[in-house]
Amino acid sequence: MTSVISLLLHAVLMLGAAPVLAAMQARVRARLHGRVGPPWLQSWRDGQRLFRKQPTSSGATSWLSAAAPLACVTVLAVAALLVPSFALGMATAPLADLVLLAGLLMTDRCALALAGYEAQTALGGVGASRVMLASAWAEPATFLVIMVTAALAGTSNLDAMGALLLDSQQGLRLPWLAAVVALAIVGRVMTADAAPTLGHDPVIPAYSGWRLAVMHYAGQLRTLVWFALLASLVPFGIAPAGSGLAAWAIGLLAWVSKIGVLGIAAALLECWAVMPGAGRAAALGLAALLAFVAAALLFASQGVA
Amino acid sequence: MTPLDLIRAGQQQPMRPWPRYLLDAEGWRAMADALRSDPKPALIGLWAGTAHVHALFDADPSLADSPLAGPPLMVSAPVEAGLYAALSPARPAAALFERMVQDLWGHLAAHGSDARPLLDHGHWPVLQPLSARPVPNGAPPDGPQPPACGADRYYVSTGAASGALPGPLDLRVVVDGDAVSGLDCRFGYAHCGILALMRGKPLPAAARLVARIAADSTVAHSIAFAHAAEAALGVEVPARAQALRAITGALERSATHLADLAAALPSLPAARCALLQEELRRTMQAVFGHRFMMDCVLPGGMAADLPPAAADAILRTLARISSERSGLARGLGRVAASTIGVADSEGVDARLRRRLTGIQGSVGTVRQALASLPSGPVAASLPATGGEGLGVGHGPRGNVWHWLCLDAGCVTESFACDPAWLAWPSIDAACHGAPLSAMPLILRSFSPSVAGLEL
Repeated sequence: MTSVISLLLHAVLMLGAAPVLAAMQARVRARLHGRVGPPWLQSWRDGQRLFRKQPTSSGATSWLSAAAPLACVTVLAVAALLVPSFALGMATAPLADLVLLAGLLMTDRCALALAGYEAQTALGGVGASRVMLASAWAEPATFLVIMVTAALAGTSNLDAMGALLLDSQQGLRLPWLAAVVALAIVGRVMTADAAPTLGHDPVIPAYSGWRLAVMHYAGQLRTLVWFALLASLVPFGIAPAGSGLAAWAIGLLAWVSKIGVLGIAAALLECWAVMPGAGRAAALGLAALLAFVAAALLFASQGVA
Repeated sequence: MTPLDLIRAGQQQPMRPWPRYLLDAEGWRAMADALRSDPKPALIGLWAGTAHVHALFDADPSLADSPLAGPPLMVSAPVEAGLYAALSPARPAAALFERMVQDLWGHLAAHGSDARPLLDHGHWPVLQPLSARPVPNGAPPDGPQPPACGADRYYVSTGAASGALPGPLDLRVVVDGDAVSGLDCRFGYAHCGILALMRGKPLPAAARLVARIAADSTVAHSIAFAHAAEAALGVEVPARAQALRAITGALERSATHLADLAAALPSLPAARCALLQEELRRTMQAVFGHRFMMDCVLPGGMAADLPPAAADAILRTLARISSERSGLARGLGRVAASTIGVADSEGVDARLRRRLTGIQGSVGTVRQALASLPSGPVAASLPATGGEGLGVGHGPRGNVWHWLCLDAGCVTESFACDPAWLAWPSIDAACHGAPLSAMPLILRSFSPSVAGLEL
């Protein structure tokens, strides 16, 4: 019973925190520039405004142009439900597999690329090819990280990994930290605002009305899912399975602070580090290398050939 | 014979302050051929009149800012049977001018490298509006016409309403895989027909039109137009007005350079540049009554004198700009680091640094001018006579040239040559081989004007 209640609370938390995280990052960025920044409810107001408008699309689009935003947001919402936030042992705990999560994120990227092709402009195609190119580097890095963490924890289930980390001190081992850092780099590149080509957001330009609102929300969810994934791999403070409200409250506090730290760090990185196209590929390559080094360290230390 | 000798052999026409050389059609053709073998004379502009074609050359651009620099050479030739020898085989930058001449005056460039229309999309009510007998447009196309694409060329086009550039422009990047192989923009969306509007207008009305050609170089255009008008009428501008013109020109250059840097630099230095630019614009509003100092420079002098506390306000703002200079230089260093490996990274860095030194130079000019401001009137009266004049203004992106023919105080023929005409072919050359993701930075390092070209 508690697992279902914690799942429901978790769903409300994740789906509601996505726009709040985006607003926080926007305000941090604005403060660094010397501006005040948008109000906290700006995403909500933008969504309301977009839902009022009638979407327009080129006459030659297919059913994909309506399906792609829905696919993105559905897949990301499922991923958000699976990643634990303030408590372990939710009703979806047996499904919270890292491989499944990687697959869900990959599906979201494919839907984004298809949306770019549906835009039927050259820039949409450029954006789609950029997403798939980044994915081609990110997938091997992600799976190397999964291999390292699964080998250390003995399972690829996020929930079980969290429980194991709470019990023992596995989290402080070097391969684990290297794997988490590699995943952080991958997540940073995949959620960074793509440098606009010729002044345009490459993938979203053809969307309008409610579809654009859904794509914006999917982008916010994507950032939150990556941050929550990183936070769950460093699960200090998370409430163990079957605990009560007090532990949940502590878990919530720990989760909010972890997400906050990650959000502020990402906003600072955006302001201080310029990352053109070539830099993104280099960063993803670095992440893959780091994950590979972590795997090598792990196998060397455990004597597995 | 060298092209300069051929030009100087022509008949001298009474243009002030430098003479205009009139060649016959054969002489123009010989000059066009001679230009192929002599790369030194640089083309500044090419335009036309109802029966003539005009070209403006810089005899030796390597001497540009030195005391040895010679006067610009303006050469004209009659157009016979609607044809004149094209300069574009010898000077590729002439291609845009020749397309514009074809659209506005109807004169065709024989053996030109590009015969496509530049400004005319087929929707004008009158074709060739500046020619002797404009033709009403009998067959406007039904809807927007997709531009003709060459076979085997792939374009990434932003469309005219993208908002990527300050001005409506269909920026079409020719790509070969991921590498850019050129730029093939579709101009004409911002064409206002200013040259046609200026015809027959008295000088004050024409000056108002000239100020509205390009907002961020309005002072440079106004100064160039005023110089041309004063040269044509033989009027001497009082010293105080000349000093105030130098001040307004330098302030405009600083503000536009800051705006260009704010667009090109990464986020933190860009935010500082944007704040400095805003402060400078507010100072200009307080002192001159307009954020861009539009309509402040008039033929004959200035519209108004400086108000009492103006010098202090200007110097305070300039002090703030100077104090931020080292932070901006560091931001430039970061841009340079991020573009290593991108084609033309030295060019991007050089252009951005030139803006920073330009800001420094302009700040120094204003301080010097304010310290030694002569007293006296700020405007001279203009006689309602005629004449022909050529004037230059130093704008943020290069020199602006204005050519003017006056008759009884009204404009008969004119042309405004913005540096954008030469900037767009340079961008085309600079982005060869660059990856597509580097295009925004290359474009922003040039910060080309759209309105200046479109007239």
